[in-house]
Amino acid sequence: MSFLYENLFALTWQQVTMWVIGGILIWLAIAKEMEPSLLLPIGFGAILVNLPFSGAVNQYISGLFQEGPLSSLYEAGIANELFPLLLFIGIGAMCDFGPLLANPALMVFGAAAQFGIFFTFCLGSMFFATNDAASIATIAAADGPTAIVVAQKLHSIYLSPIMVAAYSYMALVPIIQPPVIRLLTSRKERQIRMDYEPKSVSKTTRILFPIIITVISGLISPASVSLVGFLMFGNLLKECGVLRGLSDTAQGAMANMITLILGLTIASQMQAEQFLKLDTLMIMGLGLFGFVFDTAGGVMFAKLLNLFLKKKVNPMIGAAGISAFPMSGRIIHKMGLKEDNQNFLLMHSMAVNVSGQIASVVAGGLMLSFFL
Amino acid sequence: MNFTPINFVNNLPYILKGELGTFIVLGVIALSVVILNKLTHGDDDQLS
Repeated sequence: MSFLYENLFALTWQQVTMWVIGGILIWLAIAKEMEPSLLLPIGFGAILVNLPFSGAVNQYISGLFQEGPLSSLYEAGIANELFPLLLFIGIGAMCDFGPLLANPALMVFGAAAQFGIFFTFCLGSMFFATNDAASIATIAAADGPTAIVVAQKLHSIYLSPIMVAAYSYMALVPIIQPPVIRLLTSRKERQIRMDYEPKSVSKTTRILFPIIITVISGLISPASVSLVGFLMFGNLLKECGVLRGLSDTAQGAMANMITLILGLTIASQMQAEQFLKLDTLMIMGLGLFGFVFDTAGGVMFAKLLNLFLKKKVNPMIGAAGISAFPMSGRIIHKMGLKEDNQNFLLMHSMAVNVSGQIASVVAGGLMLSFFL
Repeated sequence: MNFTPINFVNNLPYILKGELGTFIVLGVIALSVVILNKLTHGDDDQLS
């Protein structure tokens, strides 16, 4: 009867700690509804792979190699960057660039909000090798697929904590951003109203936009062209108007499927012996720092612009320049309504948010150009 | 993991290079959109 309990003695406190971490992620997903499509599979997967001799991941048991399905999924879809890139097609199909195309000047906020990436790189370089610091800094892009692709291409040894940090913080945007914004803005600034006048954007512009961005980004940073290309291909599916079925599949079933597999696969890298290290804590800390400084960069840039603009912008929209789409745009809209129930910032914040999507990929591409 | 504070100072130019690079790329894209909007104005317009 010893087979019923012998595995229990192989359990380590590190594995139990990972169960607790997994439990917290599941709790956040269910009770707080924070990115449940990501946090639930990651949380459950963290428990799954931290059972003694878990068959879900590759193991050597009594000297014999046993292949685990989650490790196979990792090799099939993350080690070669396939899953994050496929997810980008879905994200591209979800993005409506219309408000940004109607007001392209808002793109500057997306660029400004990438400050945290480059600043975090400088901080990280004090503790980590250059390629690792650059990969860790990309967590601040608030863009899981970009973080994975950059870390893979730069051969960072910290891919697993980077993935976990990137996706966890994306889910925690509603907790991280509001206090930073409130700290940097006065109530009066948060109440600044921004009128929105709908402008017409031609279908030709909507169709040519993804193609032009791919060409421009590809010429400037060829290493990142797969990132931009897949994102823009998804958008072209949506905007071309003749592939509604494919567009719906990309932003619905396919994106859900990839997210599900991605979440579980990320969890395969959360085995206690790899994950519970001081380095991981540092990476989580640097990632959080990057998020805060991305938000601050966007807000401070908007405040700087207000010194010169006659028609002031609400500095909160600068914070939407991070890539967490559409959470960040919605948060800014809600914060605006909280300060003044007639202040509708949604169209502006969403335009800045999609520009952040593009800017984060560009910033990731620049990191690759610098260090590849 | 080694603590090397001088790396912070040595890598500071990357903040400038990175931000400048991002602004330039986004600027070129924004400019392309402005030109595109002008060239295609009135061609199956949709309100945004």
